[in-house]
Amino acid sequence: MEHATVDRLLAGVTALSPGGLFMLLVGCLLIYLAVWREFEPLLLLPIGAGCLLVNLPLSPMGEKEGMLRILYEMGVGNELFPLLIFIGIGAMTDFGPLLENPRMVLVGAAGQFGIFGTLLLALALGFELNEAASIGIIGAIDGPTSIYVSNLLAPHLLGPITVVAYSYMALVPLIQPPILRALTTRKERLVRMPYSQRTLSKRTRVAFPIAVTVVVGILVPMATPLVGTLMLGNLMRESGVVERLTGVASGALANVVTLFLGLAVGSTMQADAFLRIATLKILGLGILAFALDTAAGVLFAKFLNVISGGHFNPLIGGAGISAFPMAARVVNKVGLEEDFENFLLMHAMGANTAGQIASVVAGGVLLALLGAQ
Amino acid sequence: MGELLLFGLRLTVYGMGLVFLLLALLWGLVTLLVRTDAREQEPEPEPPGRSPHGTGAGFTPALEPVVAGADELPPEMLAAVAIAMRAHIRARRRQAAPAMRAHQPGSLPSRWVGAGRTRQNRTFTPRGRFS
Repeated sequence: MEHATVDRLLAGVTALSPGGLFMLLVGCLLIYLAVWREFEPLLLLPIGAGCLLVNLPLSPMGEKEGMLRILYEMGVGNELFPLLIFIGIGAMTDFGPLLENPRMVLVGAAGQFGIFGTLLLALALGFELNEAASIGIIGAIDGPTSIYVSNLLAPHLLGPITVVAYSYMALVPLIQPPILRALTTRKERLVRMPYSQRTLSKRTRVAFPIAVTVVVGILVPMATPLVGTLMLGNLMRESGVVERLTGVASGALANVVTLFLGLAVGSTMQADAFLRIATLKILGLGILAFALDTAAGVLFAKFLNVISGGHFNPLIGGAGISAFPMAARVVNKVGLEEDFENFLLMHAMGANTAGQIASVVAGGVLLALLGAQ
Repeated sequence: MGELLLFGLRLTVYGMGLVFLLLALLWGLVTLLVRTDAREQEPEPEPPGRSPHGTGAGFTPALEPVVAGADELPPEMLAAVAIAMRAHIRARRRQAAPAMRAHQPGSLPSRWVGAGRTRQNRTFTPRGRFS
C-alpha cells in the first residue's frame, strides 16, 4: 500500500489533538449528565452530541458547508431558534397563578439581581463590558434569553454560557435549598399564606399577553422579540381557538428547534474557542449568578414579610427566577420540610411565572443599556 | 478597571431600577385587569319578589318545564332507553368528551392540591408546631 494511502486512512488518528480529545471527553460528559443524571436532557444531550461531532478530527460538520454550521447560521446567528422556543414556552405556561396574585411580579423583579451582580463580578475579573453582560445574563436562569443576549453581545462566549446556564439550571434543586435555609429563620419558613383561587375570565387571560407585549414593547423595544414571542405563545394557548397551532408550538416545533439549537450550540464548543481560562471563570460566575438571584429574591421577600406584618413567607422569594417550575417546587419542598401542612406551591408558582417575565424584561433592559443592535 | 466597575455599578442601579419600574407598571396593569374582571363577574341583584332558590310564592319560571310523557311508554322501552343513556354516558366519560366535563380543564385543582389548600386555609394550628 502506498504511503499516501496509509496517510489518508490514518488521517483521523494523526489529526487527533490533546484539545480535541479533551473536548470529546467534555461532549461525553454532557451526554452522561443528560442520560444518566437527567440534567436538562433535552438540551444537554444535543449539545453534547454537537460538541462530539464538531471535535472529531477533520470533522466536516462544523465547516462552512457542514450541517452544524448551517444549523448555526440558520437559527442561532440570527436569533431565530431562541425566539421560536419562546413561542413554545409561552404556549406551555399558565400565567394564572400570577394573575391571581399580581404582587408576585415584584418578587420576580428582585430575582433578577443575579444578572447585574454577576456582571459586576465579571468586570472585576477582567472581562470586557459586553462579555461581562453576556455572562451576567446567566443570572436570568433562562436558556433562550441567555442564548439571545449573549449571541448579540459576545457571540464568542455563546458555547460556555449556554452550557453553564443549562447545566446549573438542572442543579437548581441542589443550589437553592441551602441558600433558602441560610437566609431565613425557622419562624419565617413557617409563615402560612392562605391561598384563594380567583376565577379568571377568558377575556382577562387573553388581554394579559397582549397588554404585557404592548407595555413592555413600548417601554423597552429591545425586549420586544423576547416578550413578544413568549406572549404570542401564551395568547394562542389562552385564546383556545388555535389548538392546533398551540399544540405544534408547544410540541413538535419546540422539540425540533430544541434539537437544532442544542446541536448548533454544541458546535460552538470547538477546542480552540472553549479551552480557555475564561470558560473556567464563566463556570464559577454562573453558579454565583444563580446564588445571587436566589439570595436577592429571598432578601426582597423578607422585606415584604416585614411590611406585610409577617404575613409573607420569605421562601417565596427564591421562586422569583425563571427556572420554571423547578424553583417553585424547591420552595414548596423547603416549606414542607418545616411544616408538612404549609403549602406554598401556588404562591411560588406565581413568583416563578413572574420570574419568567422579569427575566426577559431584564434581558431587554440589559441590551437597551448596552446599546446592542 | 475602576472606571469600568463604576460604569457597571451605574448599569446595575439603572438596570434594576428599570426592571422594578417596568414590573411595577405590569403589577398595576394586571391588578387593573383582574379587578375589572372581578367587578364584571359580580352576580346581578335578584329582582324583588323572587326567592333565592326560585321556589317562593311570587316565583315565575322563565320557561315552563316540559314533562315527557313517560307514562305512555312501555316499561321495557323505558328500561332500554335508561340503559342506552347510561351506556352512552359511560362511553363519553371514557372518551373524556368535553360535554362530560363539569368544569373546564385546569379550573379546578386536583384532589391532592385541593386538600392541601383546605388545610392551608384552616385557622387550626397543630399543638406544639409554633413553640
